Amino acid sequence: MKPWLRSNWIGLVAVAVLLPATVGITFANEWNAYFGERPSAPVDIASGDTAAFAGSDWAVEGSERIPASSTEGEEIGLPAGSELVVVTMRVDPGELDGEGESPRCIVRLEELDGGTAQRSWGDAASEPISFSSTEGTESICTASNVDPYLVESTFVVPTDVGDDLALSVTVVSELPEFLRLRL
Amino acid sequence: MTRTTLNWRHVANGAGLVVILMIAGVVSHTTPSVAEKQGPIVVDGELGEPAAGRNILATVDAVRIARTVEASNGWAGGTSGVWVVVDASVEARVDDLDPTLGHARLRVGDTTFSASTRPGDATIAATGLSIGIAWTGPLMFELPLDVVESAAGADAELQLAVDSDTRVDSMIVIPVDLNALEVEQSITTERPVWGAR
Repeated sequence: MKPWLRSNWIGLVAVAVLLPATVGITFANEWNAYFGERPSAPVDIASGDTAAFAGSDWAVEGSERIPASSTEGEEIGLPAGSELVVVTMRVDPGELDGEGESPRCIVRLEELDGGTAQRSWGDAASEPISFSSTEGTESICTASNVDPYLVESTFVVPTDVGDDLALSVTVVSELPEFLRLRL
Repeated sequence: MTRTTLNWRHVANGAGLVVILMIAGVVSHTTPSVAEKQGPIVVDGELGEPAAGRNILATVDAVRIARTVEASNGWAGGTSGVWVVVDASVEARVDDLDPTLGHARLRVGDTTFSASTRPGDATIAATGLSIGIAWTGPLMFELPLDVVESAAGADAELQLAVDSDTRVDSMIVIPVDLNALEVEQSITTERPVWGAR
């Protein structure tokens, strides 16, 4: 070993270890903070199964696709080249929070390809269509519901949407995990 | 007479320093500026052709100019300038998390004009974008006539993006020659339509 290396090897080793460690820790912190506050970790639930999540049980009861070209689609006023996907989900609140409320949730429809969401749609409640929801169902997760209840969600999608669809259910307190209930 | 010997170690140190300075210069001159790192990702489009960005697909079919506009909802737009009316079709591609077409602007020289929301639901400026299902309708920009007729009017550009914050996301840019367009007395616009045309 050359004399210069022999007298400086401790410093060189320290630089070689600390520099990548500093960069790695900095990136990891930023990465975790970014993904930690987003629904980035799906909990996949097979079609028909019930998931225990956020202290409640969640299951898709059924789904239906209504083409715009059908009589029902015309009555609803769907735009040309679209379908209405109607998904009914059963929520069975188990553990309530300190205020005696069940979890609030955000529901979206995902189009999957190889387990990865390619496109996602929000509820069509604000879309200019005239869909009459089924009696006895809620349109959103309702915190005051402490008994089992049904949530009916609607999504206007283009006709080229695939068959591999899932309902994503996000509960803020559980982030970054979210439920991915296959239809 | 003293004889000077060349110290190769000093020469090597000097050469090494020069190389390091040259590398630092290259890095300094090629590092993207803040505007380049955070600016919109421009997608060049052209009239009549679909242009696709990360989460936006847009087609601009026509651009017209008129002194007054009669909108499909009955709104009549008088102005001391002129109306630049853009007939466009816009849809989202990935998600519909942004509530409206966030960025619809017409840049002429150093001045940028936002699409007017005065006509209400008669334009697509305030409509929510749907994934794979286009909204087709007009966008209206209110401009002074001298801006339209200025030299910069020949190189105007229409900018469309999903989010009002255009940083680090696709922005479709379509060149428009405002000088080449005839100023009509009045234009009546069609009602925005949701769905396949």
